[in-house]
Amino acid sequence: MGRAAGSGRVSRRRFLRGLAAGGAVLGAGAAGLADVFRTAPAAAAGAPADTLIVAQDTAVQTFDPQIVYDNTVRITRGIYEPLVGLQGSTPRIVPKLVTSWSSSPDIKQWTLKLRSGVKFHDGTPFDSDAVKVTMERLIKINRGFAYAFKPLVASVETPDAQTVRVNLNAPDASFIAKLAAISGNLVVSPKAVREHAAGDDLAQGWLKEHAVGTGPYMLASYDKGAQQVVLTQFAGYWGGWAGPHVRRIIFKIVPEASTQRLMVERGEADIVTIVAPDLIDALAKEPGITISESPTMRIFYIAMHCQREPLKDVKIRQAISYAFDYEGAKQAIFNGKLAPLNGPLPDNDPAHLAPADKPYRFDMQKAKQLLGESSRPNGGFTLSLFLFQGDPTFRKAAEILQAHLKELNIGVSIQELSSSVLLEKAGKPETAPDLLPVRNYPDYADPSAMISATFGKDAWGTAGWNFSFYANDRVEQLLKQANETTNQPQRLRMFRDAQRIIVQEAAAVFIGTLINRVAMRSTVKGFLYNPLLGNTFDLYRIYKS
Amino acid sequence: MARYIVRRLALLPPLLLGVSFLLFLLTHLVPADPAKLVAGEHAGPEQIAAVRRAFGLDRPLPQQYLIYLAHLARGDLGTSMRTNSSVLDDLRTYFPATLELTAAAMLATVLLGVPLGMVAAIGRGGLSDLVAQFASLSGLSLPIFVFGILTQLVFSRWLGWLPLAGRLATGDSPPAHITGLYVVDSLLTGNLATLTSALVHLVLPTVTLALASLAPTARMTRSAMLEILSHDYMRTAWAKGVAPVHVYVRHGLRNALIPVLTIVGLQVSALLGGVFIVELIFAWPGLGLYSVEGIVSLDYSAIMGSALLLTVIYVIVNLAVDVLYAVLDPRIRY
Repeated sequence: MGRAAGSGRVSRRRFLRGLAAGGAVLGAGAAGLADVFRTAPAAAAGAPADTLIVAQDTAVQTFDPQIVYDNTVRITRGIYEPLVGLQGSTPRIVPKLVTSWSSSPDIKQWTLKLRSGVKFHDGTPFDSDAVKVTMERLIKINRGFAYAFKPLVASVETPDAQTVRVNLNAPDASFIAKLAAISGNLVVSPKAVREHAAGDDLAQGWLKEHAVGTGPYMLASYDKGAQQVVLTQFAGYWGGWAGPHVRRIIFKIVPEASTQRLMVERGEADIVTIVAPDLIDALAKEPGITISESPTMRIFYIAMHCQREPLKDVKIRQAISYAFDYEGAKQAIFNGKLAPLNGPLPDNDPAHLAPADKPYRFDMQKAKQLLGESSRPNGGFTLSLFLFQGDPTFRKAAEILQAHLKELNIGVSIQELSSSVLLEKAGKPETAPDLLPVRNYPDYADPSAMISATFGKDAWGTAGWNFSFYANDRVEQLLKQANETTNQPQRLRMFRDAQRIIVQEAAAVFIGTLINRVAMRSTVKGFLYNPLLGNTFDLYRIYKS
Repeated sequence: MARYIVRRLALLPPLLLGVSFLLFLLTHLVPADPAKLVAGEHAGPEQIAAVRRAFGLDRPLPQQYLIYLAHLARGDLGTSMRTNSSVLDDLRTYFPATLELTAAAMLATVLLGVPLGMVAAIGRGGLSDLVAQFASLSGLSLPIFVFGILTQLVFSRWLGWLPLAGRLATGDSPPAHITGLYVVDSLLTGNLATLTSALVHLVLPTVTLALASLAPTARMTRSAMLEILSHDYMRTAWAKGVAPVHVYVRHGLRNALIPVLTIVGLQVSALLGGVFIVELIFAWPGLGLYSVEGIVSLDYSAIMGSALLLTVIYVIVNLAVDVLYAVLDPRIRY
């Protein structure tokens, strides 16, 4: 009994001792952990002023300047440079690696004078050979933007180190604009291509994860495991480093929009690439965050299938154009942040149409009247409409149209599909939907790019981006003539005439020109956005205060 | 035992054959053309045809499948159309991140779920049972993506205790590549700063991923323990004056472990399913992100490679569970 009592005492003491020791260990551990918690994120948050962190939404497939045709252009355009560029946030073409250009009278030959004193990151000088290697590489690899050059370029000559002569198969007044495109002719070092070519791959394997351009930034590292791309200043950049710039740019791949939002709120990212209007609106209310708003050349419209009954009837297409609530859509979808669109060309294109050229306003009376004059005066049919999966802007536009077409006794059946399946179906006139809400941007800053890709007869379906399956001989003739002259006022007239026909024939419901809104920390300055593609900005001009 | 393991492993090749056939069929049934996606938005028919030729998509389907099998037999998982690199290399790059996250979540499931279930069983009907049941039920009913975003909001945005996303802080370079698991690699190279960063970055995704598995584990432990607690040998143990901890752990838990182990083994598939969403939310560069991007662009080889890898893991985990049965319970012989 005594023993039992004794052992009981000891065990209680032991227990208390153990408890105390355990508590101490726990306390120390907790304190240690608290330190860890306090310090680690603080180190992560708030990058130094000379480092810019961009939360990038898509993973890098390749850095190859002749292949990249997705959001990775945001990165490659800091490393590589095009021959000509766009001025600030306008679609005006300005010299870059090429300082001047001229064409032969028949516009089948273009002569380019190159900038001197430009060096590649590997130290070799930029010359006409580099331009030739780049152009021929683009055509031979035949990916992405090659579609605009392969049928066009007959040969590239290099009469001297500072001159390039490009011979074309057909007259093309928009050739210089094509050189300012978002991708394609970003000039690559010929030395890198030759040294790293494996077989006949033109160094595609090497350039997938390495980069040698003339741009302001060099590819310092690409870490797949951490999904992080680091660019650092190229000391020998021809533009120089006077004035404020960032020394290092880190692209962190963050696919989830809500995570990107929290990152910029916490200062873990300086610029985020999310686009959802609701998220941007929420961020606009946060202190320390600025929303940059820039006009784009991205148009937002609903394509109407012109080759299939009942939309083959122009009266029905016109009726639908009147039955769309343009102002309501602008507010409901974009919270009022939408520029006008009076035809195929965006508001900031020099050849865009005036409001007077687009007769369609939201007018249900007029819509009913036009339907009454059509082949289906009482409606009573259902139109198919496809949606790109997961895009709320398309869905809202479709629902607004659906609601008003119901008043005309026209049904709209909405089907949401993944982009790969949707493109496959919408690519062919037989399987394409009657209606397809689309966003489109021109590949280069010439009016011909958008009109021919969106409503040209050779661009049906995914061959271009003509989901209206529209074709008009007069439009084709005007586009062809415009490419055969460099007389700009004359060209603009032709483009306007072509657009008026497309608008009159109501090939699409033209809703608006998108305004690009990018959320960033207020410390980011010098942000210049490229109007051609809602995806890139001038990395060289950005700095942090 | 060895014969049993060999026999089970011998079943793997036919299983993989069946899975690969099903996957091949399913991916090719999707009415879309990946060559179009690879060639780019405005690519012409000639460009698309070139891509199709380059990846052998112009051949008849049965021939494509046979070619795939021939490559597979040599351990070649093909080339990803999207990244244009060998799928095996891609898996080597991305899988360690997933393995690290899943292993951490598994550990959290066991370390939290089993004690939670035990506490609930011991204090059956009492407050601790109620709390444990409530905790596991809420885990079961809260979707992963909601919980993930909530934890980010609370612990990162509001409290600022934990990092939001990624495996390391932005700008940090990863430890020297040995296993690809940052925690292990930084330990092996003695890099303490990276180890701390890797561990801290693991917390939120691990908890989020473990949440869904926690509930079934805790509930199974509770019911298994309840059953064991009523056995005669437990009464005997109490009567002998064995310390409570030993009664519960040595006599109780050890015997309750067989059904718990079964459930934990099954949780591996739940974790591997959940990891896709968790990786997306926490920008965790693993197999989930790789596969999701592969699926979106209908990258046949990448989808099949990832799925086959997951199949192998699942089979091995199940085998390990079966082997562990025998270790835990000497009466079980194979």
